[in-house]
Amino acid sequence: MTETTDTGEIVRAAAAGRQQAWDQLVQRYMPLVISVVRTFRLTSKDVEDVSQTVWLRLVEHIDTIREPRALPGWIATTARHEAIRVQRGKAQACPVDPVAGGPLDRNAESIDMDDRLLTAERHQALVDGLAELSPNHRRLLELLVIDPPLSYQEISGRLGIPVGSIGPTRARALARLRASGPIQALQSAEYSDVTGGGKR
Amino acid sequence: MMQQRRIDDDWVEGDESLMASLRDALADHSVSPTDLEPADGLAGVDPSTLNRMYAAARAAFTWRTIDSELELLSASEASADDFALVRGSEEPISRTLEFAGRIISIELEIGPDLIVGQIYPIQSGHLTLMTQGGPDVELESDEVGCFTFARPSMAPFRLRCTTADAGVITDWVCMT
Repeated sequence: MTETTDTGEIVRAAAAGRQQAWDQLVQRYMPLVISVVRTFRLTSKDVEDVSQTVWLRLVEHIDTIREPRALPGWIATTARHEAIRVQRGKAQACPVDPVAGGPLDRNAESIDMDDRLLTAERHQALVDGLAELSPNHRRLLELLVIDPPLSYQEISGRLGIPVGSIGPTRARALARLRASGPIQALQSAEYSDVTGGGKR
Repeated sequence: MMQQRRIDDDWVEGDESLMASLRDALADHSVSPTDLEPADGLAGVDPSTLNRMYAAARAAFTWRTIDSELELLSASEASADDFALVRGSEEPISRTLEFAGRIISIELEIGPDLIVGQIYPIQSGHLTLMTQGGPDVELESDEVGCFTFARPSMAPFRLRCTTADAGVITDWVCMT
């Protein structure tokens, strides 16, 4: 387990030509590509083509990504643009709402799409942030969100820590998660969206 | 303009809210970042497709352009917006893409059967159409920079163009 989990190091290693680092990026961010692309009405073949376009583009742009924290945003945006293009190309006629019988409300649909894209980016940031925590903090948070839930007794037994320290450790782990690079990066991106684009 | 947001803006504020976000995130990412092989059940994509996608994505790395002589051109997003205007028309759908470079630019119109292009400023050039699966297709433009390729059966593709003045390569274009 000497592999780094730091996104910046992985990006630099991939830019330097290391296939293994590239494979790590694919492993880490394919769920993001899929979660963005599957919000569109695309066939399985289209999903494959869009995904591959995103990865081929990233190969060419990997050494121009100056801020590795921006990588999830770059991937999500590229996937979204390509999926929109493909979906538009497929649409031979305006989609019709089969229930109401009228045209779909494009605005409502695109707001919904934005929400889903934002949710996908947040989920990726949380998963990335979690990967940056110490193993003890990471394992505790993972055990705390298991479904069905574990009792503090069971968690105490699994981690070998006193029941009384679970609450305080959880608070510290969450503070670290909140302060982690991926979440900070996404929050500042969302903030600039808000200030720049009248999102609220 | 006020827009109604249906998702929670306070996704990391407060410990309970952050725990809820984390629970959703881990449920959504049934593929753990530390897993070596993709787990099945990433919603919406069947396991064999998923395996193919991971394999293709890893193999994409071998397509890295080492040739620094070529300027890499990205498609301008404006052309994608223009395209929205023709939605719903009875005309065969075609896409126009503009790749603006420092010295030369390329405009492509991707139709159902053909890819028709133009080099700007007007000049002749040598063009290579590349796909991942098939052989490269090479041709010379006419003297005013126009060229036509049969649309390849495989997506995505990219185009390399060299003229007396410059050499450029486009980003990969998803054609489906």
